[in-house]
Order: sequence, then structure tokens, then C-alpha cells
Amino acid sequence: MTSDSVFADRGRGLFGWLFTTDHRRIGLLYLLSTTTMLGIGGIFALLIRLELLAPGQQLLSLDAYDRAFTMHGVVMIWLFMVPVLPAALGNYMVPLQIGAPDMAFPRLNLASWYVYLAGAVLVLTGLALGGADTGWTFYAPYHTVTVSAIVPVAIGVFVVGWSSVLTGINIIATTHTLRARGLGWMQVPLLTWAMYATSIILVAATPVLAVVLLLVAADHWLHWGIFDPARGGDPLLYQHLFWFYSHPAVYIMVLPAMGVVSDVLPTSAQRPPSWYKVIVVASVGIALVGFLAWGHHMFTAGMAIEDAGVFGVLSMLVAIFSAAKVFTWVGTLRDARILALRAPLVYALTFIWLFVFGGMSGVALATMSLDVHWHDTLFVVAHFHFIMVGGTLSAFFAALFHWFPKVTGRLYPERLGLLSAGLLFVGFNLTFIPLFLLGNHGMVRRAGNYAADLQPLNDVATVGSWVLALAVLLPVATLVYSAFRGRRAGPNPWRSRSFEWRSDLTPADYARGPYDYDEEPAGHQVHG
Amino acid sequence: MSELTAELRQRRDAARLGMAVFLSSESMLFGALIAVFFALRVDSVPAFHEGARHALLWVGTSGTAVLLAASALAAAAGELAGRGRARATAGCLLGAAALGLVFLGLKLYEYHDHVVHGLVPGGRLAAALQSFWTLYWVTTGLHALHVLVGVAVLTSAAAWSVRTEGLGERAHVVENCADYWHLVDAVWLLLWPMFYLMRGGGP
Amino acid sequence: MIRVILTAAALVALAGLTFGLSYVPLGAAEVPVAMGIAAVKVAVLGAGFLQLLARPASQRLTFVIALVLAATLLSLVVLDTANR
Repeated sequence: MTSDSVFADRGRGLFGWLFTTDHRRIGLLYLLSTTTMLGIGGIFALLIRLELLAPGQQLLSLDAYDRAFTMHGVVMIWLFMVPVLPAALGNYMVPLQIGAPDMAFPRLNLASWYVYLAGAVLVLTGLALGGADTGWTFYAPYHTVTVSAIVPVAIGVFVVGWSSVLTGINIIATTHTLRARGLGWMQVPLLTWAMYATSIILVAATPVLAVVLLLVAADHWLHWGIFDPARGGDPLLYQHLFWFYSHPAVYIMVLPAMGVVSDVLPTSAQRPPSWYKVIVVASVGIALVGFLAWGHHMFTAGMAIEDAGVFGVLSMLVAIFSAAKVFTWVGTLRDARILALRAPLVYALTFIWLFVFGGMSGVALATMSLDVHWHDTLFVVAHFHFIMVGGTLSAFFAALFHWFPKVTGRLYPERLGLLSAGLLFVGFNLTFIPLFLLGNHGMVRRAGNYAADLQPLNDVATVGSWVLALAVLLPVATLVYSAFRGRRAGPNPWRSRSFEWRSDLTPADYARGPYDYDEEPAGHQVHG
Repeated sequence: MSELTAELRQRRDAARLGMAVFLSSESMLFGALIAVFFALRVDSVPAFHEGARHALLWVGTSGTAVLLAASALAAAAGELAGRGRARATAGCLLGAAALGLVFLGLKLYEYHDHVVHGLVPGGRLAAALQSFWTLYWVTTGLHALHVLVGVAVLTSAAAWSVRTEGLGERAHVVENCADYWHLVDAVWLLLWPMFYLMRGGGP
Repeated sequence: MIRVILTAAALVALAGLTFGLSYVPLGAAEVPVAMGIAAVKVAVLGAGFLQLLARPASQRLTFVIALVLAATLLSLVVLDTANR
């Protein structure tokens, strides 16, 4: 471990961490807190799947089931998936990838973690009070009439939102103003580009969520009825505002994941990524056109048919940029001379698999005529778990394994890494492919009971959820163990050319870019 | 203005950009409420006209004048800070903050008047008229909260500028505080016609 | 300082204009006129007080993105409620 290691003596002890302004330590604080939330959200997931092991009531009453899937969604989305990659990985890696001494506003950065913590405590308080039962979407009129603890949960999410905004401001300002000399925009590593694009969504979409959550609290607590027709309100307006945030929020989770894949693949293949600029344009493009698609969540809710048509067309724009990214990854792999079989690579391949099928089912769902059939069935649940959850989880673990030696200075046992990655692939598909089929059969989402003939597929999914639990616990245990007992790694065990792995970089090094690998053998380089 | 060191210039650029991003973020906050207003208004124009006629036009209009004057003072403060004139900068900032307090006083008077007349959020008015008033309270209330924060920001910027050595090189701090105030002002420039002026003509 | 005074003067003039026009029954033109003048005022404020035209492109761009997104939200929501 080098002297400027994140764990160095300087600032040791609890206070050295709680009052740190070191971007790496703040990243690790975020990692610890978000991973804890993954555990809590995961327990709810296992409870849900256990209840669905057989028709009829197992261990959750219908009311408890409503609360379980609501808190599963709220904790997983707002306390784990939205913050984990931008705030934990982004905080740690963005300054290192662009040769900045720290984030542009280090104290603001620490403040954002405390804001996150305050919001998380509020949500967990709501959970202790019995949790909310409206679904993570808090739709009107559910949030008006519910007797559950919706207010602390909604206000908690509101508070967490502001930590997102602070992180986003920091990443944008850092990328613009603190790049090392010689490092132009077209030499910025792809992970940082992805974090930058994500930050645009964080700062532009989150305030709308903030407004809508305040209105939810006012609606429920003070009966202001802004979404209540009897008081001149409009329940569909709620859905508009909610999805104006929550549709782009999908890309808050997926864009950084794409960034991880875009950076893991070149290192694994020891070659530059195919079509770097396409990935850059697609990252920013997804961030922007992601804002134009929210209405496809409301096709069956009774919105004006003219509006639905516009949204149906606009939704397809996202698919174009997404497909472009997949082609670049495939190109990077296809032109590789060597391919080091390591856990991050397997996770990255898992990401591509889940993203392609999650994405294509998403294109299908954004087609109005198909959506009428699938809306509010488990097909939708399977789709968004593939793309958001599978995407985030596989990239999260890819990142953990890939940058583990950078953070700890140690190596992890590769076999356990590969096993972890394999378990995630198997567990994920085992859990969610049955949900596609069940949804197609018409099994509605958010139901704690179902017809007897649907049991076999439900049982497969429940078994899958246990594999998935193992696929989360095993890598966490492996990495925690290796952080203390792993073999010493040296500064750059993967022989990556990305800036965060190298030291003593000159402006000329930066100008050559982060994918400065040896030239390919003659005759092999088809694509530039 | 003297040449800035590289480090100061970098810090200034980051701070200015950070504030610009934050203010853009804030404009989305009000953008959402403005969208709600017009979405509900399309089908209820007569009720929204009636609502606007109940609002106190003289308060809304004098509030606009007060905020514009405050914005001009804040802008002047930014320019004076760049010339290193600490006392004049602080004077302008305090003047702007005082005008902000005047605005809040006007607004409180008006809120009191609304409550007396039963024009409250979540009340029992006819549906469309009620939605006007609920939105009015939510939107202007959130704006008033921003004015309050703005007053605190301007006041502390005034104290900071008389304390700071080499104010001219650190003028971006004052400029950033003034920018926040300009946003508060810009939002009001949109709210004023929405809740006061668009009343279908007539007195 | 001339910049500040000119900007303030333009804003006061526009405010007076929209205040006067509010007494005129404009019918369907009411929203475009009132909000159009308000938008012009915001633009004048952005150019004169925020000095957006003199700033680096990155700082201008962030406001442009926010404005475009807010306008998108507004127009697609109103497109729905107006046609439902």
C-alpha cells in the first residue's frame, strides 16, 4: 500500500472518516452505506419471493405484502441504485481518471453524504413505522388515502434527492474545470463521461421529483388535493411529474453501469474501445433523449391519445443510442487479440446480455399496442429488473472487482470472483425469465396471490432469488476477506492504460488518452 | 483587475459553473410547478381568471418593483466587488437584502388577507378555483422561501466582502450570491403574470 | 454600471407594459402576451444581470438545457390535459 493510500495513517480513526473531504473516503462511505441498503432491500425481495412460493398466503398478509414490495422498491431504487454508482464509484474514480486533486467542492461532497444519510434515516424511520404500501411509485390516489407511513418515506426520498443534486453539481464542475493539463474532452475516460452524462440527469430531473414528493406529503398530510379531482386536481399530473424524473432515473442507474462496461472491456482486451466517440455521443445522447420518453409509462392510464403517440415515437430515440453502445462493446470484443478471463469481464458480459434483453423488452413495452397487454403485469417487472437491477448489479460488481486492487492494493482470488459472476448470471436469469413468462400469462404485478397453474414458474423464480442472494453475499465476503488477506497487487495488476492506474503522468501522456495500448498486429485493425 | 493566479482562476471557474448548474437545477423546481399551473389552467380558464382577480394586484406589482430594484443592487454589488470596493459592495448587498425583507413583508400581509377571505390551500372552494389557490400557495410559498434564503445569502455575502482581503480577485463569490438572487427574481417575473396579471382584462 | 442601469430600465419598462396590457381583455392572446413578455424579461435579466452572453459556453449551456427540458415538460403535459 502506498503512502497516499486511502487507508493511510493520516486521519486514521472514526473522525478521520466522518469529517473527511477526501473524495476517495467519501466514495467509500457511500459504498458502505449504499451496500447496507442493498442488504435491506434484498431481504424484502427474498420475503416477496418466499410469499410467492405457493398460491394463497404463506408468511405475509396481503397488507404486509403491499408494504414489502413498496419498501423493497423504495430502498433499492433511492437508497441503493440511484446513489451507488455516481456517488460511490463516481466520487472515487472521476478525480483519479482526470488527474484532479479532488472534487471541485470537497466540503459540499461530504455534505452530500450527510444529506443522503439523513434521507436514509427518514426512510428507515418510515419503515420502522410500518412502511408505506403505495408501491415505490407513490401514485395518486394511493398516496392520498393510504394509512401507512407515506410521509416520512416520501420526505426521506426528497432529502436523498438533494444529495444526488449535490453530487451531480460536483461531478459536472470537476469534469469541466479540474482536468489535468493536456487532458482534452476527447481523452476523458469513458467512465467519467458516463458519470458526467448521469450528472446532467441528476441535476435536471431530481428537482421535479422534489416538487412532486412535497406535493405528495401535502396531499397526504394536509389534504391539499393537488392530484384530487374533487379539489380541482388531476391524478395523471402526478404520473407526468413522477415519470419526468423516474424515467430518466433509469438512466441514472444504467449510464454509469455502461461506463463501467466501457472501461472494463478495453482493459480486459488490452486494446482501445471501438468507436470511442460513438460511446461519448451515446452517453450524452441517452441522458438528453431519456427526458422525452416518460409518457410511455402512462399509455393505459387515460392520457390523451395525441400525447401518447408523441411519447411512443420519442421513446424509440433511446433505443438508437443504446444499440450504438452495444455495437461498440461487441466491436471492442471482436477485435481483441487477447481476452483476460477475469470476474469483471464476466460481469461486463452479463451486463450486455441483461441490457440487450431488458432493453429490447423495453422497446416492446414502449409500443402502445403491446403495452396494453403487458401493462401492470410481471412482464414489466421482469423488464425493469433486467435493465435496472441486473444492469446496476452486474456493473456494480464488475466495478468492485475491477478497481479493487486500485482501492485496497490487494488482489482477490480469481476463482471466487469468477464463481460470483457466474452465480449472478444464473441467479438473475433464473429469477426473472420466469417473470417474463408469467407476465405474458397475465399474472399482475404487486399481487401476493395467484392462480394455482402459475406455481411452477413462480417456484423457479423463488429458487432463483436464493441463487441471487448467494451471488450478492459471496462477492461481498470475498472482497471483504481479500481487503485484509489478499495478495499484494502492485500498482497496476491489469496493465490498464487508463489514467487512474498510472502515476507521474505528463501532459503528453494525458494527450495520448486513456486507451493508449500498443498498436494491433497489421491486417487486424479494421475499425479505427 | 489584477491577473489571477492559475489556482484562483480554476477555483473561480468551478464556483461559477457550480452555481450555474445549481441555478439550472432550481429552475427545474419551479419549471415543474409552472407546468402544473398551465396543465390545470387549460380546462379552467374562467376559474383561473377569477382566482387572479382575488389576488392583491398592488402587492404583486409592488413586489415585482421591489425585487427588480433588489436585483439591480445585487448586480451592482457584483461589479463593485470586481473593482475591490468592499464597503460599496456590502452596502449594495445589504440594500438588496433589505428590499427582500420588504417583499416578504408585503407577501405576509397578502397571505394574511387570503386567509381572512378563506382563500387557502386544500380549502372548500369550487374545484377549479380551489386548484388555483392551492397552486398559488405552493408556488409563491416556495418562492418566498427562496427569498428568505436569498436574504440570508446576501447578508452573509455583505459581511464576507468587508472581511475579505483582495476582494477584487475573489469577486466571483459575490457574483455567485447575486446570481442566486437573480434567479429568485426571474422566477417571480414568471409568477407575477401567472397569479396576478392573467385575469381576463379589466380592473 | 451602465449595464446594470440599462437592464433595470428595460425590465421596468417591460413590467409597465405587461401591467398595462393586463387591463385589456386579450382573449386567446392573453397567455402568449403575458408569458411572452415575461420570457423576454427573463431573457433581459439573463443577459444583463447574469451576463450569460459573456460567460463560458459551459455555463450558458446548463441554463439552455434546463430551459429546454422545462419547456418539454410543460408542453407535453399541456398537450395531454388540453386533449384529454
